[in-house]
Amino acid sequence: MKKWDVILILFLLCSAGTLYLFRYFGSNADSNSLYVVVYEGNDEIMRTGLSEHKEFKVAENRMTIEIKDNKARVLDSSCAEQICVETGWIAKAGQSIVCVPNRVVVKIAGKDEGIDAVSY
Amino acid sequence: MNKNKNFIKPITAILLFIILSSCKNKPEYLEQQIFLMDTVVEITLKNTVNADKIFHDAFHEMSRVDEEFDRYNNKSFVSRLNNGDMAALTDELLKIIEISLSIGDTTYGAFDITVAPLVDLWDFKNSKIPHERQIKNALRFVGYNKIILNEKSKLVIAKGVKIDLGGIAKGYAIDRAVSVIKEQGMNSALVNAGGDVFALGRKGKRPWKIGIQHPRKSDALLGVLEVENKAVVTSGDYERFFIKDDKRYHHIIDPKTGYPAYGLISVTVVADSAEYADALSTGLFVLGKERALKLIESLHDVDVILVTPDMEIIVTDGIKAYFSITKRYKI
Repeated sequence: MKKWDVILILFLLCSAGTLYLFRYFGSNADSNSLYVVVYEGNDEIMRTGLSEHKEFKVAENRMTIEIKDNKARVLDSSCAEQICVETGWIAKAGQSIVCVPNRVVVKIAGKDEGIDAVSY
Repeated sequence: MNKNKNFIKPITAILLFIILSSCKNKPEYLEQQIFLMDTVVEITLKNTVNADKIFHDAFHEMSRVDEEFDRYNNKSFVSRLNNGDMAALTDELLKIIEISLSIGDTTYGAFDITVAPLVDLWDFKNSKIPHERQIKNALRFVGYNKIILNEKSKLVIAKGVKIDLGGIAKGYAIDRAVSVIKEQGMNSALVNAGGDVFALGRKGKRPWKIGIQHPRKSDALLGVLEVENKAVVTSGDYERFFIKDDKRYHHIIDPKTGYPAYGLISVTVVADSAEYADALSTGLFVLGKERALKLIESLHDVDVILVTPDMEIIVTDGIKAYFSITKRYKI
């Protein structure tokens, strides 16, 4: 084995190891950050951090969504039954607010305790 | 020298493969959702080549169940049956009615597929309590024993009585989707229809983790349940309700009184089928703590998480080891 062969192998080993560690710790770093995903129909229209502080309109201004203090809610909606507004704040991964008339889903996503769904 | 060279090529190839595969980030699981059955249905599947077809077939099957068994759709088999058209009684519909009546028996009439006239009286949108006279009148057409299935599988429905499978059809649709998913060789999936869930297999190396909604704090969970090959269905008084004179009027109506049931505030059923869990969660909710616990003792393969009005959390032995209660709610 030539000197350069050894160097090449060592170099490749190091790169592989570094990339592996990156992926491992990279995904762990994500685990604490939750985000809010908004769907209209079946399309994702928005994705934003749960730690942000903002208010925005969706469904052609028929709904207002508020994000504050690591929680999200539907502040107002044009729908008749107001089920989405009455759901109140959500904050845990897997929780969601559904407005069937406006076909909007507000969902908390992220790796919070690795929860896959919330039964309610 | 030559020997050494032969070594280096494969080693380099393997290391390059590790590096390249680290870069590629194919998701392990895929999610798709559609609006169905008055809620949103989400399916999670292990990422395989035929995942798209499985999504399509599973959603298609759930839509079929919804179309056939929704009493608000006047073309559905259930609507036709309610209008006296016995030709609409398919084998599948007959079977669901049979199971519904049997769960009616099991729960001493607390789960009742004739409860619709009572539920319709309650106007949650305008926070209106129905008049006592209206409830009395509706009660005349309520009672699962007003539907009789005789030995020849002939169905006899008393006059004025209507069938509503709303308390069981969602669970049935979930079970059908799971069957379709399994038939295509998939052994790891999650079907979530508006909080009614079936967890097929495991998620990779770990069980599926299902959060249970806290009944009084919208932004909190009661705890987290780890399951595999189980349905998890919750009935709570917090989904549809209004408060009048400090009293909560919610959507789970006791078919015997016509008024909301007050013995429990949340019931989660863990069972082998979502159809069964769906119907049973409503029935147990109506029965209240004591009668529900007594009934569960006599049932096999059913576990529950009950929450009483004073926030006592009762977890049956079969799932105690798999349910971690959120710290601050520990009993």
